[in-house]
Amino acid sequence: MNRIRSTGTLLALFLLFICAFFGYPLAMLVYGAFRSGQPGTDGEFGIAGFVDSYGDPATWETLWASVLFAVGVQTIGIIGGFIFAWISMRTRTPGGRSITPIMITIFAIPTLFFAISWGMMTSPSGLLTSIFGLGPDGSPRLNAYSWFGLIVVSGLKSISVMYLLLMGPVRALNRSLEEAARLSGANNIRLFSDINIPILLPTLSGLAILGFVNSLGQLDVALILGVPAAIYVFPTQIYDFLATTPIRYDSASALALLLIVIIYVLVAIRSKAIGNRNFITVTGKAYRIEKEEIGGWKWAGLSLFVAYVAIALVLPLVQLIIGSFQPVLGVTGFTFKHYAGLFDSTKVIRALENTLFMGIVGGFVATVLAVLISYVALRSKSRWAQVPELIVWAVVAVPGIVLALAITWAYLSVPGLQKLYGSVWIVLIALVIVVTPIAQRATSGPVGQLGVELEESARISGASAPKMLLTIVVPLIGPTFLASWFITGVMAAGSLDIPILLSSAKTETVSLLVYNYYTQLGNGSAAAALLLLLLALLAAGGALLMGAGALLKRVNSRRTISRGHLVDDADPTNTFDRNESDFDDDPTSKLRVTTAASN
Amino acid sequence: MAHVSIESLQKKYSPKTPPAVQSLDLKIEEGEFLTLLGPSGCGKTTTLRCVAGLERPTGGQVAIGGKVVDNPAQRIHVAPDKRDIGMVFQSYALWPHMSVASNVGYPLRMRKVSVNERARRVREVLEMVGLSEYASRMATDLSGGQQQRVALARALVATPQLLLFDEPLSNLDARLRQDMRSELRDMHKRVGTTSIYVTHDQEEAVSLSTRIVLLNKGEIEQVGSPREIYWHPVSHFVADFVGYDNFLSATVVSTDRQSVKVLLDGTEVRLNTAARTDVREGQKVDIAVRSSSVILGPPAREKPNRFDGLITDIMYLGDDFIYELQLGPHQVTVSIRTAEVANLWPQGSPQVGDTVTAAIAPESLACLPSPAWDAPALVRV
Repeated sequence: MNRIRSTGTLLALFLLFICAFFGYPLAMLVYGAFRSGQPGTDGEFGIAGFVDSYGDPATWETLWASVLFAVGVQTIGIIGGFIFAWISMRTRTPGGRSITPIMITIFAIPTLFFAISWGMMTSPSGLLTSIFGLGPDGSPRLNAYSWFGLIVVSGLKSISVMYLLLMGPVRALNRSLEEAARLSGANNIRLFSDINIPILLPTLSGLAILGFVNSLGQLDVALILGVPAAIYVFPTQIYDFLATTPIRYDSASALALLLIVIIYVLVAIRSKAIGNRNFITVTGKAYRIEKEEIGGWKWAGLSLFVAYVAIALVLPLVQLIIGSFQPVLGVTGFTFKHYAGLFDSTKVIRALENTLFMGIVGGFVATVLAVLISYVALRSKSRWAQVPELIVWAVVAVPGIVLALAITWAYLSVPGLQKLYGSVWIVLIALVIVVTPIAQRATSGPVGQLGVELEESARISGASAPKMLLTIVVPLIGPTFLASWFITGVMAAGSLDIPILLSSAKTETVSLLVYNYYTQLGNGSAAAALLLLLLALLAAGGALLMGAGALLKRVNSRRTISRGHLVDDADPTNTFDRNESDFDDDPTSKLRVTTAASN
Repeated sequence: MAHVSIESLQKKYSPKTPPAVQSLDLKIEEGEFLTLLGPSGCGKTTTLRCVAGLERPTGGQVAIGGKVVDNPAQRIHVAPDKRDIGMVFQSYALWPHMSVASNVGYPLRMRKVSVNERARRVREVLEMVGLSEYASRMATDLSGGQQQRVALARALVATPQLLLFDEPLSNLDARLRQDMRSELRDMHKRVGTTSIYVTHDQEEAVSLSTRIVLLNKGEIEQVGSPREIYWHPVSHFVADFVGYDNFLSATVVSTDRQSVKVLLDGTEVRLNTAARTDVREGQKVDIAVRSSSVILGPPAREKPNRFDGLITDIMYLGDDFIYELQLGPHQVTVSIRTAEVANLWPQGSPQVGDTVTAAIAPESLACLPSPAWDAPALVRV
């Protein structure tokens, strides 16, 4: 009885914490929109912010621009992602096995990288300009600071996201449905138009809306490539309200609210329209899941992928490396001074420390929270146990810049919490809120599969509760935990929209510094060097993750053998291997689900 | 309707593994209902899929209705949509985004049948499978049995020259399976389309087919009528697969037209078994008998092929009694209907430790060349 009551109290506390941590800032955003003045100062309630921002025709132009931007980006993302998913999952294309790892790499690289490198590539001395040359007016033919640049650069990244989200559904397409169509007399084209596309339609349309919503909230590319070309979308407009005097918190909040409303309406429409109409059922009865020979088409597929990797990854990287060695960006020459300068600067060292902290601690906290939330939802019989999940799902659609604003309201308005403002903790809190939904997606599947009988049989076999957690639960979700930690850590470390609003001079992160070097200080070469440093850091993190994963697997199998169990069947990590091998060549199937809310 | 001829069909999936089908020869007559029977991995589904065109054979030839549809040596491969075949899949394979009527009508749409004609034929075939009132429902809203009927209707609607069935009943529960089995038989009687049916269920094969092909490791073990397969297995493998549960090692004493005489190893018991021409004197054989074919009685009752055995165990299974008899080094399992037991032993049935006389009709004793038999000189203990 005592035991039961204490679990109830624990659950209530947990619930309260989740509500406060995730829900309270959003509530404060609404509060802020109806109040004049800055957070934490005196102000009057009113609708001035709404009048101010909604009354301005420029706002509606911005809305239109945002829609155009999001539609453009998602068109590229979905079509590209689908084509590559098909090539990689369904065809025997040379090099097809490298598609997934490369896509994960592109997905993990901060958006900042693409924006800045494309900016450099289309400068008068940039790589792309040397290919496409100058136009009649003497300026480069390709200009990233334009609608074209904005959409293409965001689209290139979006392709990787859509790929990771589509590879599961494309692979799960039931082959016997296709075979039945072939035997009914359908040729390849009819098969595609009558069967495959309609079956994938709910998935595709769902992803389209999800991607659209994400693009609406995207700050980085629009800030770096759009603002110089006087192209404003919602996130940059909100940022503009906050970054230029007079600072208009109420207008920014009103705009942010409009964005959130639009996003929630779209999400609601999506779930209403699609609901459970998911045709992708992994029945496992399909006779054959092997990939098809497509003859000469495979070379077309390979060329397409090589072209994509070249413009999305290789050329940008080469451009950054070249730029980082130039004395001044665009000027021929060779110097190490930017690299040397990085390590001399205490600012840079501090930013590196901050970034590592955000990545490692932020990712860890988010993953722990996510696992706890899923676990509570799975195990607790209380009807409140599902609430944390719902709250986290509600946060998933909130853009980073909007959340940063909401955090400002939430923490500056309360005297005690004010002290956090300007500290590293406020940035951390915001980052954790933003990445937890992603961690939630990454871990909910494996945690949900933890059958209660696995735990019960461990207890019956004589394991105490902590021992059971250590020997059964941790090994089972360990790989997932690591993967989620990595993904969310990378996202936290690479984020620009949170630090740009919440960081103080002492708590700058590398992304913020790169942005400042590139745009404010006009020091592109230093920005390039710093960006490469950030990439190297992320790559090291990735290597560490793979090492840890391999180690975990080894330790687990050795432990099992030494205890003389029936090795294969008793080894819990083997279940993972088996699951993974269903997804043949995809070592990172666990990462697939993680990408939904990130762009 | 068409006849199908398969000549030295071979299908190798990878150079490393043994072929899934090796050099298979088979002729299927017009209007036949032929079943490919065997355990999983025996090559039956692969063979079926080669006929369907869903799999490309690596050797040999497949012809349907006299037209060669596959011959890798001559680089002939007719796409599945050009073969005029209907197929029922194990997983039903109904398109989840289409109604029952559009699922069934799809093959007609592909054959460019006019809308009115299409509607008429869909109605007709749905009536035939008893699903007229479900035409506008989504296919996946139906129950498993109904879905399988829709799949059958879709296979039938375009009156293809050949029907293929890939374990169509294995996803259904036992009762439904029985119903569908008789429906399939009625259907075949009515439309008479040449059919190839794949299953691992011997009961299904025996009750549906005009002819059964038993496959093992990609090769044909035996071809015959259901009766032949059921009562005259030619190998240990076939006997085992069709439910023979007693295998006793023996040595051939003599053979003639009517029977083979054998001596049970390690005993004085001589038995007459069904005739067989490919065994000779001195050869090691296994003799196989179903536990239900052994007749028991009180000791010394006069019957041919009889022997005395010691009861070592008795099991009651409700409808049947199972007796385990010790016969020299051999263990013989006998099953007797419960009602029969009272008839046989009105004074009280025998107990463990009693000796009873068992008898087996020669025609229900199969004489099978022992799989371990190498040479007559090799004496096994």
